[in-house]
Amino acid sequence: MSDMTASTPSLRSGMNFDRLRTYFPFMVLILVCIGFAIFSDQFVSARNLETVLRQASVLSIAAMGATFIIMMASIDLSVGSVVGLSAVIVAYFMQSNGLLAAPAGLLSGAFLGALVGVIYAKMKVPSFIVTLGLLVAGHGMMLHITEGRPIMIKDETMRWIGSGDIAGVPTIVIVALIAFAVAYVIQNHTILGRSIVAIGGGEMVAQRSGIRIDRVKIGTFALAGLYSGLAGIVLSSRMGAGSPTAGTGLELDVIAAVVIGGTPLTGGMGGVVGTIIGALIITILSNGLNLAGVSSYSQLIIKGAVLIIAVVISIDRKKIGVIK
Amino acid sequence: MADVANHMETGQGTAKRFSHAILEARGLQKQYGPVHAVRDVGLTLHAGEALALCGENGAGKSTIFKILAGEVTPDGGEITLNGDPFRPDSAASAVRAGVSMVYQEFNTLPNTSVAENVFLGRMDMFRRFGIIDWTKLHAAAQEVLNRLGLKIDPRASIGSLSPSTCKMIELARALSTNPKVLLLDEITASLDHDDADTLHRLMADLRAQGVGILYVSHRLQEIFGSCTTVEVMKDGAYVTTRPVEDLDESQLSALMIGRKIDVWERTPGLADRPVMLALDGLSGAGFKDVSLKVRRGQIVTLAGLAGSGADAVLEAVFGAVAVSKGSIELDGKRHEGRDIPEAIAAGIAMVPKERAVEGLIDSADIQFNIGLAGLTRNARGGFVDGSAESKDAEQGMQLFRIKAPSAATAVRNLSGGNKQKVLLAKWFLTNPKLILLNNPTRGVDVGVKLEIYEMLQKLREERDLAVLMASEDMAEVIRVSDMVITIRHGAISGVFEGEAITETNLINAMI
Repeated sequence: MSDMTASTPSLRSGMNFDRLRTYFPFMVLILVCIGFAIFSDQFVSARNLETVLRQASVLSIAAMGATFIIMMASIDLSVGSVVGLSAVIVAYFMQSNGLLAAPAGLLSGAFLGALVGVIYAKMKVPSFIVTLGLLVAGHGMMLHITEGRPIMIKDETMRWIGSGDIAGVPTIVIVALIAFAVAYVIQNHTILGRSIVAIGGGEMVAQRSGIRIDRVKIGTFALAGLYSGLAGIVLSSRMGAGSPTAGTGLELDVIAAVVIGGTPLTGGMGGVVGTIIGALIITILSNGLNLAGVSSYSQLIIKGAVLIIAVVISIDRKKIGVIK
Repeated sequence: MADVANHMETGQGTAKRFSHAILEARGLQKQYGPVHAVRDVGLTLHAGEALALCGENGAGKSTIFKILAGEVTPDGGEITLNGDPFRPDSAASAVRAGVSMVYQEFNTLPNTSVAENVFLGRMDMFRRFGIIDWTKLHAAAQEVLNRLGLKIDPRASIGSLSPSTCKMIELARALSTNPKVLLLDEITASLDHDDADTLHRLMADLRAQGVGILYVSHRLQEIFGSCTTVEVMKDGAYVTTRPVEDLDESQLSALMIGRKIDVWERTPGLADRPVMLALDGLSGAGFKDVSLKVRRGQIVTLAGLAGSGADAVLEAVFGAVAVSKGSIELDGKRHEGRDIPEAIAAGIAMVPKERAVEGLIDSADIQFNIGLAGLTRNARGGFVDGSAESKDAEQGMQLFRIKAPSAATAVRNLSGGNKQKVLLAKWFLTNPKLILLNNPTRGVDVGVKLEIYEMLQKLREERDLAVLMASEDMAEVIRVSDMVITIRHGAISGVFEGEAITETNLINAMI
């Protein structure tokens, strides 16, 4: 009975908070754009817009996969290495197999994702530890394959994907849009999408509703791996090489994009629409700071702060008992 | 007024048996929102008296205890302790004044030692130069444990001890404060046989030393064994106070219920209906050799005290816990389902006990929650049919009269009663052949309870649905069941049908 009286105010603030979570990314995107438009005259130009969209595509593809993982209330710290490894593998096989090497990038991503999923779901190792391990191990593998030097890509089609366009729209932006459409359908119209949200919202409830938790977890990590693999292919095509440092630090941008996009680390809410906005915000932030002449050292400080602020705003405190 | 007079009279009666009153409470009031948890209740506890507070669930016993222990501030009334006004504003201040309580819930910390738990919150006593004097602490703890006859090392970790021993350590904690008044709330529910014996011997010792004991237990036999006086409460109000010698168990039960329960129209001719669920010698963790039948259109209830194993039987049928022996037959066919998805596919639904943890996803909307049970029913090839899902949600909201702006309302914005209805809708919408209900009206108010019973009655008739229920709410068990099977220590202890379903019969079979 005592929660009857207490629930009235929290009910109201809860609804406002949900609404804030939905509109927050759009508000931030607009504010950031207006801010940079005032401070830099180069910011609003067709050329810069194209640069931003090209830069945002790798991040948004990787972040869409991560959105599923975070909606499930798990975390993936390995994104940077899995994307980089895929880029390196594609460049490596492209030396002998040409364009046929591209699927190898997807497969490596999906395989690593499934592996993480199995260790996480079946052996009950927290996802942040499994993926932290993979982050380090994956980088080691990249160094092995490349022997520390970038592997150049000479295939013309691959280079066209990276820098060409279709009817004026950059090819990689189209790839990112298709990836987004697929992710949107998975999230909203499939059993897998429902299951992911259910596990993030309440794993026990999901289990008792007849969802096979382990399968969904493994499947989701494999799916996210597939997205990382695709992001790796796009990254290598953009750079024209498989670099041993490809994707380094991307995991932080990915998590920031997802969280700023309104998917709380506590899971069960949010989605890929917000993530696209989040990825644009992160990209525009570093683009704008570059144009405004802010040093890359200071940019790191700003990025870290933005990530923490985004989590502070988006997190679902009602679901949290003990913070560790 | 008659009650008050009666109280005064018996109060004088008991005064002759005991030297002096330690604790007196008059006109206690406590209201939670629109609900009077306690209205105008008084009690007198004498030195050396063991007073049992009796009443059904929700009678207000726990509220009285919490008021006396300083956990809850009453809205009105006066309490005196040894003649002085007693207004504890926290559990700590009640303890300082000489009133200690052992709570129904567990209150030990798993990763600390026995001694630390005995002196929990009072470790300062052993501080010297800012450092804990462990030798002194362990010696003091050993002394208290000896008083209880507990052979445990004060250095042992709580995690290594049985729940019963943990409860005894909580009792040791209460004793170590040298209370004048000891409050014991359902302590024996967590004690094993030997520890319960120790407790009852200790109660006799304490009474001889002039300590007053207030006691709550569902086990009426214990009250007759260890208490001297009984005070009965009903619906938050005082009923009567009697010496235990003046009562027997059935008279006490009658006082607690306070009225003849209006008999639910039990559906005739159920015995001829086809059997939907048949359990044969089902055994597993917490239950053994359970055989029963549930027919189409019949409501069978497993009744038992908390931890009796009634829940576990339901869990086993649903595939949530393993079956070690025996068989489950559903609609004439052996059900081999070893997990929840297979049980749902076979036509079994289960409304769980813990709504927040097992039942609903708070952050998601009504439609999502209703569609979640058996996701495949509105899907083809992995894709969810959104319009079928939304039709289900509309139907569920109508059927269970869920009050919400739309099916897109987040469950967390609903009242407890409406949440419970969403939970029921979620499972009824899977069109089950058999529905398992574990405490289906837990935590909802009386109005919604009655509404749920009505729906249950309607649905089982219309759909010829077999219902297997577990409930700890005695009034509910009696009201809705066609057949009650009592479970004690994991095994069937009695089967009651029709007129035989009475509170006295059931309680006797349950304890």
